[in-house]
Amino acid sequence: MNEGEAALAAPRTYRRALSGGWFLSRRSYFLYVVRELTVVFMVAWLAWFLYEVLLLKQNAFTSLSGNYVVLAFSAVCLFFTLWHAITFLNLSGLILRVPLGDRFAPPSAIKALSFGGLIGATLVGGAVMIYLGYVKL
Amino acid sequence: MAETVTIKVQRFNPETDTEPRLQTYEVPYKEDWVLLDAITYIKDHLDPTLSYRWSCRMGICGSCGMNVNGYPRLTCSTHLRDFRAGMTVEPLANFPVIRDLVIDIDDFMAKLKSVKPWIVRQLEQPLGAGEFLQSNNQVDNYRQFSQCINCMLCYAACPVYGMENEFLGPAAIALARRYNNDSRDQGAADRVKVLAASDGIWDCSFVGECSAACPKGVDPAKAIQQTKFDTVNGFVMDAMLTPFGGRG
Repeated sequence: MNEGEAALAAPRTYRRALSGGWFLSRRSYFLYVVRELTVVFMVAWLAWFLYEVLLLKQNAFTSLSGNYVVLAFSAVCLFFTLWHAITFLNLSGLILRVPLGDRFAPPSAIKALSFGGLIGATLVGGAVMIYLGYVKL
Repeated sequence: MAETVTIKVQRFNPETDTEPRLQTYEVPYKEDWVLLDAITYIKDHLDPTLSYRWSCRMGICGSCGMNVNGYPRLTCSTHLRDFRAGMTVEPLANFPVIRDLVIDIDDFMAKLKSVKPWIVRQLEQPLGAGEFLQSNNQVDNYRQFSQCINCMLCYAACPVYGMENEFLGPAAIALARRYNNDSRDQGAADRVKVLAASDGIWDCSFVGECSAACPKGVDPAKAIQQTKFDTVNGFVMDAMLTPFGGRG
């Protein structure tokens, strides 16, 4: 193989690396990164929740649930959780495919069932908590 | 004096350049011209050394994809009238550049081939047995994904592919989906080995830009999320039906 043939077989190429600020180049990229970062809040809230459960197990529980900072943080986390749940369930009709013969169940029906399931599970969970006395009205 | 439009074009000569540079051209402005016409004008009248790919000029072959003002587009479908303030034309992002606006597509072609984008039959039947018939609903199950023209705009829009070139990528997964959804195909079990591998569907974090960039409305992001669901569903069903390791 001569020099020309070698160059044709493996041409020298240039690849531009993705810059560190790639997510600032487009609004949709930025919103995607914001969406991903919201998970940090949710993980922090869950870690705190598990820590309180651990304290409860060790009989050293001192609830911070009444603290205004914790309440505000919980409200933010609830907002993010609902945002993820709603955006996910909005797409459920497109993603979950339930076969019906040679076709699939209509996306609108799957979406309605998904939201119905979320609302139903929330109501049942709330009712159980009230019944068991964990939540006082 | 005739109206003109300013076009900055990324140039890269592998024999002399270590990195790309931008070169500015003034091109006649015509209301009905697309960007590909303007680039062809540069090649024919201003600078014959400019290299670029094109073929059909009507949004079917998928050859003329380039980044226009940072966004991946088919240049045969991008009108100058929408960019009167001028435009910067670069090769599709995330791919190695061979020369000027020409990218190396070997990686994409290998990934495309790995998902077997053709109808796989476990046992071929003789021609005399007749054609495979499909209902309209069965065709509708894969029609959208069959519109892919392999233009690679989705790869240029995908930051995951930009960061991890090993990622199988949107178009290859959409094409796999197209054949998995085809009632004539029996190759889903072969494809899942590639799709569910570490560089397959699970690399996608659902940015969604592949679907926004697709000029044919294929929606690769939907294909990827559907494949994730089907893969998990298949795994769970398999585990439930053969809970003690019946899988081979």
